[in-house]
Amino acid sequence: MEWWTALLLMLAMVCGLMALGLPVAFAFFVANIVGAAVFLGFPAGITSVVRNAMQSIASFTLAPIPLFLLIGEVLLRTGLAFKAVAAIDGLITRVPGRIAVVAVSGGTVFSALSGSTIATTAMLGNALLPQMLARRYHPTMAMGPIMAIGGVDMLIPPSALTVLLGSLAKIPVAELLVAGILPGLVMSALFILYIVLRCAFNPALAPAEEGAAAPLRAWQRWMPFFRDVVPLLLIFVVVVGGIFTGIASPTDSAALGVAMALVIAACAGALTWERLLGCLREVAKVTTMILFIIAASLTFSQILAFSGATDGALARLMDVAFSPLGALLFMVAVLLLLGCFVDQASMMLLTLPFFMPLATALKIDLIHLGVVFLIAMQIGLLTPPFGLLLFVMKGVAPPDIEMREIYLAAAPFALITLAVLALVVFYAPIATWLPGVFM
Amino acid sequence: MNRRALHGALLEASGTAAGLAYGAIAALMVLDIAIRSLNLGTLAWLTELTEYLLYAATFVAAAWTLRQGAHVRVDMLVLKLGPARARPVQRATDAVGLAVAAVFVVFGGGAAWEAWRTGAVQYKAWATPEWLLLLPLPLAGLLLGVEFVLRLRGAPEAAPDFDPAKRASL
Repeated sequence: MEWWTALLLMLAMVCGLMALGLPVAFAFFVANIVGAAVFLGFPAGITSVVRNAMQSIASFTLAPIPLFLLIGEVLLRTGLAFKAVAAIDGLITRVPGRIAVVAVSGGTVFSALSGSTIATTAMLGNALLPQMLARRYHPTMAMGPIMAIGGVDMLIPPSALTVLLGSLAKIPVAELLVAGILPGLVMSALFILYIVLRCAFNPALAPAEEGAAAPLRAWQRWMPFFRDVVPLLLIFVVVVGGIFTGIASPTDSAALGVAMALVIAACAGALTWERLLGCLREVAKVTTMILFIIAASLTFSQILAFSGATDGALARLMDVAFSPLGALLFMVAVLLLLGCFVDQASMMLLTLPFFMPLATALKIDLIHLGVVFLIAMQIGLLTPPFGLLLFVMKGVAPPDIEMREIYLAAAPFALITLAVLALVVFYAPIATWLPGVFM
Repeated sequence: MNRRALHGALLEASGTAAGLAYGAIAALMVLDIAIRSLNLGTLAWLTELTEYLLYAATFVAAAWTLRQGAHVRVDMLVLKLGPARARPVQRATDAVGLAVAAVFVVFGGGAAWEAWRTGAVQYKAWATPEWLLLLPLPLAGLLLGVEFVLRLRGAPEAAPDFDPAKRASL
């Protein structure tokens, strides 16, 4: 069989079954089973599919994923995250689009505490969206910042998706986690700048808060910050500090982050056995969903390699005489297209078997590639029709908000993220400087 | 307790067990860090145990996750079709899911049986019988298979209304 026939067969099976609504993990397993029977032989190939499923996820490098998720869940279910957002709310005053700015600022802080984009978006959507809509913020200005900052969670550690990408692509996880910080902060700053400028030029987007209570004294505004936010920042210090200094591996840091989150929740009197069990079950649900897809990864890449599809596609790509920059742009284009239709784990499984050999052949910095990959996936969270955060927002928004309004709300922030992506593609030090200095 | 209720209880237990496994990983890692910090040695088997727990928890809880409607899926087409026209498509995909589950039962079970028959052992920090490591594969296949059969038979508890806003993701 020609390499391109094998490639088309595998991709058509995965995409076709996904389009019919079969859960993504099962679509990959079907392709693996058929591909293994055709290319690896029956029945030995099928046995390798099930055995590889074990090998794919019995990997220590994946351990931070449930732990990072657990940190976010503990903060959410104990209400500490909501208190932190309320404390940040009290600090930000007299800014055009104030609550939208609070959403981005609070989201940035929570990104540094939570490992889940969806948790951040859902938390901010529940905490701030009703407030903004009640104060007659335009729905696009109310929803857009929340969705946008949810995506930033992917870049700022702890980030479960970064761990997944590092593990699958064999990119050092610790360096990749640190590399995402600067682009994430740049993105947050640009989101705030956009909100302030837009609301300053068009105040109807975010009417000034009339009839508010008398202004608080400085200590009244700062006290909740020190009480409800500063202790939580210890989690970030433990997680990122351990990685930065090299004292702890990402897995150690994640475990210490969990311990710190539990201690803080217990000290706040917010931790109960029932809540803890709820956190663990939610983590089990999300981790199972993601690792079950990853269970198909090893066989999928093996079949692509064994059938000659990987080498064939790589040779054809090299024939086009890609420069490293051209290759990066090509990868970005593929990821942005895929991001409209499939989830982030599927994007990794479909592209990494081709992208990583290409990057190695062209000597592309893997940390740089990893950050570009993450930002491209982040845009996928905001692009219709499949952008996941669009649906999360639909779930927390009032029923009269139409999907079209949610798309419109996300659009400017997706464009800003695209601009940051371009910046990172053309100026690699934004991604590589921080790990280069500290690690 | 009838068989369907028993299956439901098993699924709930599998979700809780997976959650507790992740809790155990976190607790043991903190313990390991403490032991290392005090120069009292290390839990040398922790890496191996963590790997096994990650894998076993994922497979054992796969059917529970399916019942929760949390396995991510690309549902644009199905949502566009509307409930009546989506039903046959849903049945077809459930049948495909059942086939995948059957592969896990037959080939995963076969691999476990072969490992038991030959006495294969995986040597790392521990010497673990390989059949024990392979057992979650047919077990997951069995639970998933029952779940897909229930979905094909239209059992209400097995096919929750799918809500795109509640997709699980990272």
